[in-house]
Amino acid sequence: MTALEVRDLTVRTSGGRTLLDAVSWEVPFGGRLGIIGESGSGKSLTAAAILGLLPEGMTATGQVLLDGRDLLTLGERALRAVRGAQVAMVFQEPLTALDPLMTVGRQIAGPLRLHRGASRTKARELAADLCRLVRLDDTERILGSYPWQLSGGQRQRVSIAMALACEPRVLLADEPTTALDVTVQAEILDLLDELIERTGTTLVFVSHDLPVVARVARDLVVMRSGQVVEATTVAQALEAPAHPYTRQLLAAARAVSRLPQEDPR
Amino acid sequence: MTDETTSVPLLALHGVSREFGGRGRTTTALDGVDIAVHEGRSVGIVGESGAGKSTLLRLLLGLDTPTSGQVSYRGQTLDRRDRALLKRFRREVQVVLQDPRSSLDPRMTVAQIVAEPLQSLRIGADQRERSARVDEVLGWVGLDADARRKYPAQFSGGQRQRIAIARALAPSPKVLVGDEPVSALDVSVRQQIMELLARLRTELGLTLVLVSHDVAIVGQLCEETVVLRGGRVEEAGETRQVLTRPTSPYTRALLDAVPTLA
Repeated sequence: MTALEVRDLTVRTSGGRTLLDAVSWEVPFGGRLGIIGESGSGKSLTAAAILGLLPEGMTATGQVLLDGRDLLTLGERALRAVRGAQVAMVFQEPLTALDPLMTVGRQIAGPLRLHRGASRTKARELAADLCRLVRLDDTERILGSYPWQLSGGQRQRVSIAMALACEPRVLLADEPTTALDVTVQAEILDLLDELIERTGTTLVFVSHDLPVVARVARDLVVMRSGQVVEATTVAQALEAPAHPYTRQLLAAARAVSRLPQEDPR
Repeated sequence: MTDETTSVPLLALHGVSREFGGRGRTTTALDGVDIAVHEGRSVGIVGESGAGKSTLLRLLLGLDTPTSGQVSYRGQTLDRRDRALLKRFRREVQVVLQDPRSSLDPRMTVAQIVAEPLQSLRIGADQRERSARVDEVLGWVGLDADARRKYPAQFSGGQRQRIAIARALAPSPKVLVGDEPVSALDVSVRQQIMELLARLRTELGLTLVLVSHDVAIVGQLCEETVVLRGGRVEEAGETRQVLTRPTSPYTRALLDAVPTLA
């Protein structure tokens, strides 16, 4: 069964420029899809189009099917019921994604109150549970903090807690570890991996970083200049990339992430 | 011990500490840091957020003075009153920053951008000589003469970084300091710019100081590696030694955290 399917998704500017050109892919329930591409490939635009979050002046055509329902036909009101509840998001920079004027506790509780109609006390309890789920163990202090009082890694854990609050079917993560230190990135990737596994959430993971995508995704879509150049699996791409661009991307990723090796003795 | 380690370093920090803030509320960004960069060597300084990389960089570029300890160039302490040394330092130590979008003036043409350090440092007899130098360094970084009249916005990220490198090379520096010079670039472009930096270093006999959060970049471009953590030097030595047989558990953890492809 398909959890999310994108069919001929095309995005144009008001000036008629095509930014996304007939992008198609699908993820099964519990699947893990990685979308990889360099700047200008359209990977983030794809994520934005799925949730009806395109910048002013851009229009999307084609279909975005969530359980067979086309999200592109929904109005803003219906979309708001989908965002956060059925499809949740985690972005690159949690400092801009989180509200600076609201405590972390109220932010995590927000989607629970909005989508689940949870009472204030109930939401607060659930928020504390979610904190523990994402290993923010100093729960009371974290819930009472403002985003800027937390470290980058803690903020991203908060974003993940918020995203998982309503047990969404699909988690859409757009470069969620790009702004983090490498040691923190490793922790967040481990956490995502474990939570996705445990909850059975479908993951769509967008990144420019192939080694990062390879750590969490199973299927892989390679994008360039608004088009899908190859739809494959991570294992297949690493083993035998079919498209020349995938080969090029892989070679570059291998080259730049290579660490010095011990001298053979 | 090689000769290099016993000779006078070209650029060095001696017991450098830098504190910020006033009474009772000081933050120590750097705490007793010793780093020696010898002529012709490539030294990478790697660290995560809060390690003190930015503070270190400002000190290395003579843009800040340490609270205690000294920064020295060619064996002499950098001192605001030593005009002759500072003049030489400004000419011989050039920097390439992370984001060429913000480090290149959008209103200047490439030729103006690359010629700017020549003018401000009063290098070259006349306009003609400076113009010839601009052509020469643009050639070194793989940009043709057409680029001269264009503006930074007309170039891709990788090409903009080539312009920034050309500008840094124009005054014939001895030391090139890179502040995350490839971190903002796409992976395929990153590889090209890294190759360019490595080639220029060898061909021009440059001394390279690279400050980065990315241990893989430092591992590929630098002969020596300094691991910075919480304002102190955690570990330092030959890159191969530090990155394959680290003595510090922190360095080990940093290496283990780097996502790699099988």
